[in-house]
Order: sequence, then C-alpha cells, then structure tokens
Amino acid sequence: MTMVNGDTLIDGPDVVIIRPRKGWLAIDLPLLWKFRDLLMAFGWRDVRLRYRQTFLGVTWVVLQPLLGAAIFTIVFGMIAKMPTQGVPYLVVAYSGLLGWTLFSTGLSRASTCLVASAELIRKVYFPRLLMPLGIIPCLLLDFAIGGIFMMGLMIYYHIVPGWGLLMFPVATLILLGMAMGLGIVAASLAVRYRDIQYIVPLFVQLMMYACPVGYSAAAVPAYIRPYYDLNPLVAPIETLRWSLTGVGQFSLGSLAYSIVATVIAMLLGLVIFRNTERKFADVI
Amino acid sequence: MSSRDTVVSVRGLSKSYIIEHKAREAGTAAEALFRFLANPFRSPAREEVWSLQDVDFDIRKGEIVGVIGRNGAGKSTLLKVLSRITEPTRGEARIAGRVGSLIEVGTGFQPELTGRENIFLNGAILGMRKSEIARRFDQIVDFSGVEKYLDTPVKRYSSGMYVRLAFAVAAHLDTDILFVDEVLSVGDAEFQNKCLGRLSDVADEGRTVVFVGHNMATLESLCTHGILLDKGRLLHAGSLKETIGEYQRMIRPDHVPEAMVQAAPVDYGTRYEHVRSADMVDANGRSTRRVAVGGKLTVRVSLDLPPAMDGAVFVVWVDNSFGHCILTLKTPKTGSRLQGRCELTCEVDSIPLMPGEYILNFGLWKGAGYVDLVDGDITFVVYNNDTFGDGWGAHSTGVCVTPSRWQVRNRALQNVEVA
Repeated sequence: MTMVNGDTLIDGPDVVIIRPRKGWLAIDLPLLWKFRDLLMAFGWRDVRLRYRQTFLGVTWVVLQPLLGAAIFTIVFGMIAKMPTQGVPYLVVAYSGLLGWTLFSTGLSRASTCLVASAELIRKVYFPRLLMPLGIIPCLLLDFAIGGIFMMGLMIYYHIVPGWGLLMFPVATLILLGMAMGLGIVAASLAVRYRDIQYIVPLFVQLMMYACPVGYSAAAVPAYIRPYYDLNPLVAPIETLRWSLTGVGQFSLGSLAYSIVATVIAMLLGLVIFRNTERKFADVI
Repeated sequence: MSSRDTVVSVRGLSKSYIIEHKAREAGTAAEALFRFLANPFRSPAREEVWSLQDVDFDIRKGEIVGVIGRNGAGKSTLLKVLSRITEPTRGEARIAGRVGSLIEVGTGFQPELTGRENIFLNGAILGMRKSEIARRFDQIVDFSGVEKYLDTPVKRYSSGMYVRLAFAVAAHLDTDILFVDEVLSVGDAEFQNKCLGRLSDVADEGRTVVFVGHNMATLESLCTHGILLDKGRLLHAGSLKETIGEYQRMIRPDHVPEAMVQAAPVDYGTRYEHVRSADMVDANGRSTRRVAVGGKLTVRVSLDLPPAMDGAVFVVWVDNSFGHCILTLKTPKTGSRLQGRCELTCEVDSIPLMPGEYILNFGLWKGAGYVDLVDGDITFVVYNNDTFGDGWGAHSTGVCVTPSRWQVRNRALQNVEVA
C-alpha cells in the first residue's frame, strides 16, 4: 500500500464502485437480488416477534378484524341497517375489514420501519429498501390467516363465490401495492420529520371512513359517488368483498383507475426513497 | 500503481456534512412547514464540514491496514463510506470482492429472538445467503462458545455472550475484505485476544482487513500497513511502522497547533442533559489547551442539574492519544453538592503527564450509570518545560512524571541537598 497520485483505478465485473449517486430512479436490482435472503429473514423476524410472547398468538390476527366487524355489526348492521343484498352483515363487514386491514397495517408498519431500525441504518449496510419490503411476508401471513377465517364464515353461511373470485388476487395486490407505495413515502419522510408518526395513524383512521369497509359502496348516495370514487382505495376494497360475497358492484374502470393510482404511489415511493436514502445514515 | 492484486482503490474521496447554524434544523414536518410559511426565502446559515477530503490510497490483497489518527480525523467516516453506510460527497472508491463490515458488533440483534435465530438474521443483514450461514453455523457457534444457550432469547444473554456471538457471526463471513471499527474494545482480555487471532487468520486466508483502532498495541500486533488521517486528509500511507512514526511526529508537542493556543470554552447548548459547557483554563482563567509538564491543570464545567439531585458524581478522565484512560478525577464522595446550576472547577496542582497530546472526557455519574458522557471534545497538549527546576524537564521515557527530591552523599564533600 502506498500513496498514489490519481492514476488508474481497478476495474472488473466484481468491482463495487462507491461514488455519489445520481439519477432519480436507479434501483440496484442485482444488489437486491444478492440480499434476497434478507427479505425472508426480516419476514421471519417479524412473524416470530408477532407470535411470540403474546398470550393469544395467532388468535389476534383473527380477533382484531372480528371485533371490528362485531362493532360494525352493532353500529351499521343493527342501528343504521345497511343494505347487504341478503348476505349476513357480519360477513359484509368482515370481508371489508380483511382488505382494509391489509392496507392499513401495511402502511402503518412500513411507515415506522426505518425509524425503528435507526441503529441498524447507522451501523450496517444493506439495501435499505428491504426494510419496508421485509414486512410483506408477515403481512401476507396475517392476511392468509384472516382469509382462512373468512372461508370459515362463508362455509358457515353457505356463501359460494362465483367467477368474480378471479378478481380477488388483483384487489389484494392493489391494496398491498398502495400500502407499500404510501408506506415507503411515509417511512422516508419520517427519517427527517418525526411527526409523520402521528400523521399516519390519523390518516389511517380518517381514511377508513372514506372507504367501503363497514358498508358497501352501493350504499353511498349517488350525488356523493363521483367524489367518493376518487379515493383509489374504494375499488379494491369493494372488489375484494364482491369477489368473495357478491355484495356490491364490480367496475373494471374503477379498478383500472386504482391500478394506475397504485403504480403512481409506488413510483412516488421509490423516487422519494431513492432521493432520501443517501442521507438516511447522516440524518436518522 | 494499479497492480492486479489491488483490492481497494480510493481516489479523491471526500465527505462533507452540512451543519445548519443560527436556528436549529426543523425536526418535524409541521415545524418545517411553519418556517417556510413564515419566511419562504430565508436560508439558514450553513456550514460545510469536511470529514474526509481528497483521500487517495490503494490497498493490496492480504494487507491488514490500520487507520490511525486523532479523534475526529475522519477514520470512522472513511470506514462508513467504504462500507457504503453513507455516501461520499465527491470522489470514488472501488472495491474488488465481497465486503463485510464490523462497525459495531451486535447491531441488528433482536433481543426477543434466540441465539440461533439471531445468527441467521444477522448473517442475512451482513449479506450472507442462508445456505452459507448454515454451512458456517457450527464454526460460528463454536467460536462464540454459547452453544448451551442457542435457543435462549439473546436478551437473557450476558453482555459478554452477546458480544461473542455477534463477533463470531461477523468474523466468519465469507468476505474478501473486512472493515473493522473499534469492536475489539469490548469483551474481556481473553476474548479480545481470540478476536485478534481470528482477524489474523482472516488475513492468512488471503483476505484483506481494514481496521480502525485507537490502541497502538493492538494495531502493532495486528496490522502490516497503516493509513494516517488528520482533519479528513490523508497524511501518510505505507507500512505500519512508518505510519506510526508519522503519527508520533504529528502529535509531538513541540509544535502546539494554533487551534490549541487560541482556545475557547466548548458550549454544548442542550446537546447533553446536564453538561452545558466545559473548558480548560490557565492560571489567569483564560481558555487554553496547553499545560507545561508538572504544571497546573484546571478544568471548568458548568452543569444544569435538577434542584434536588442526590448522589451525583462528576468524573473527569484523561485519555492519551492511543485512547487509554490514564487518569480519573472525581468529585469527592461526600460534601460535593451537585445540585441546581453549578460551576465546577477541578484543579490538579501538578499534572503528572509526559509531554504529548491528551484528551479530556467528562461524565456525570448517577446511581449505576452515566447520565451524561462527554467524549473527546477537548484535546490538550502537555509541553515540555523545566517545571521541576531540575534542569531536565520531562524524562525521555516512561508514562508519567513527578518531582523528586534527591540526596547525594559524597564522602569527600559535605552532604548536599538538591531540591
């Protein structure tokens, strides 16, 4: 090793180049691939943390939306008497909450994932994008358990889904994509501005009333509908319920609108993430 | 100088941090918004502080390189840039091969998870494939010596076990280049030796190690080469022996740096819970950063404590430039009323230190731990002077100095007493 005077640098296929990065949307896909096991490692960590040291364990995953559905049943089903096209209101509410919970827990967890691991960011290098992405496995597991319970409800009430079931994965992916896109935006901003932690739960709480969770979008008065439908979360939540129970309507146009919105949210998330990522270790 | 076995080459590498003065940076989005609305065109006074400036060097395969320098010389920043934790502002570094970094052992350990689960999680964080970790699993467990507690959550581990396991994971990575920062300051002596041995093995396997350390003895026993940094600039790169020589020349107290002559109190503002400012002063109460051998050292600290605070102890300690603590001074056990706003003065009449550069650290101890820990902001120089009036000044070897009285009996002459 010696002092040098700025002559040629090493080069080759395995050479990692460290320099100030430019570009708005340059994602190092090969690097993400190299670290692919970390995604599952983060996933496993969350799953274990979630199901260990809780008294009821897996039951919570079902219990949370079920209690929500029970409250909805009392408020909307019995007092406000929402129309449900003959399907028991509990099923309507639970299927709405199934989709909503996927979005809301995804967004909440993604938004805090960077700040919660500040120590890790300051001390170790790995593709930071894996932190928000790493919550997906646990999210999907929760969703699957909730889905199995939904199946139980459908069998109990003799509800047979039709061809609409094909739309179920589409709606699920939109909700997941939306949660990730907005979650990554929130997570990046939270590194710099800690009050994002208070804004997100508030947003989630208010958003729930603007989504067809405890009711079908068909129950929304017609004159509000055009504005109501601007919310890109309406279509996937409504579609998810429709695909399972047949309650509500399916509109390909609305779903396409949501898909476009989701892609925009994800791109926005990536751009903001990319452009704040370089500062994470310095600011967090 | 680009030869085929160069594994790290760094050109013009620079890293700056922006420090905003006047107003504190907006910490919340609401604050940022209000400020923008209040005055959209105001731009805060910014200062660009360079932690690294135009650093160039090459490292060849199999070298164990020690990064040497004072506190704040940019050593840790260099390692952080090279291990990609933070981005450089300018310049470029190229690294051939897989990089592992041990910036701090145990980050990423999840207290609730068991030792076994943490090995896999930590390995993945450090970039290993699951299959690789599985292959190395027995080695890791063997090295850490925690096999009995593998299925116990690591929150129940002793701190020693924790560190051993964490080091074991990182040190058994299949990497070509390993960056190590300060990790060896943890654990007991036996384990430290084991770690050092492991790092030597890593090098014997033909891998490269870049090591930041304050401990010269460790550097000397481990490293083959050295990089000397000062204020973010590269002063020397070469064999370890040369580099240590350069370092010692740099900190030689004959040239007291200008910054140390024109000193000012360090104002911490509200950076710490209780310590507000600290300073080292001379006999006239003026801020200084130099003291003669055997001279009087006076340290002033102002504290902002709660009105009723019991059992607090203020500690001043002095580290030498190798990071060894060589002197600890504490407020007396009884009778020092550390309460409310107080100005502390600590005086040592005759400082028993050899000429050289030293670092003052402070801590406010309460109960079983430090409430405030102020590290290394004040560096001072002990300069050679014939304070003791024996014509020698400081002696040429040793680590401490003290005045001495001698009696020389000479049969031919009368007894002579020499002061």
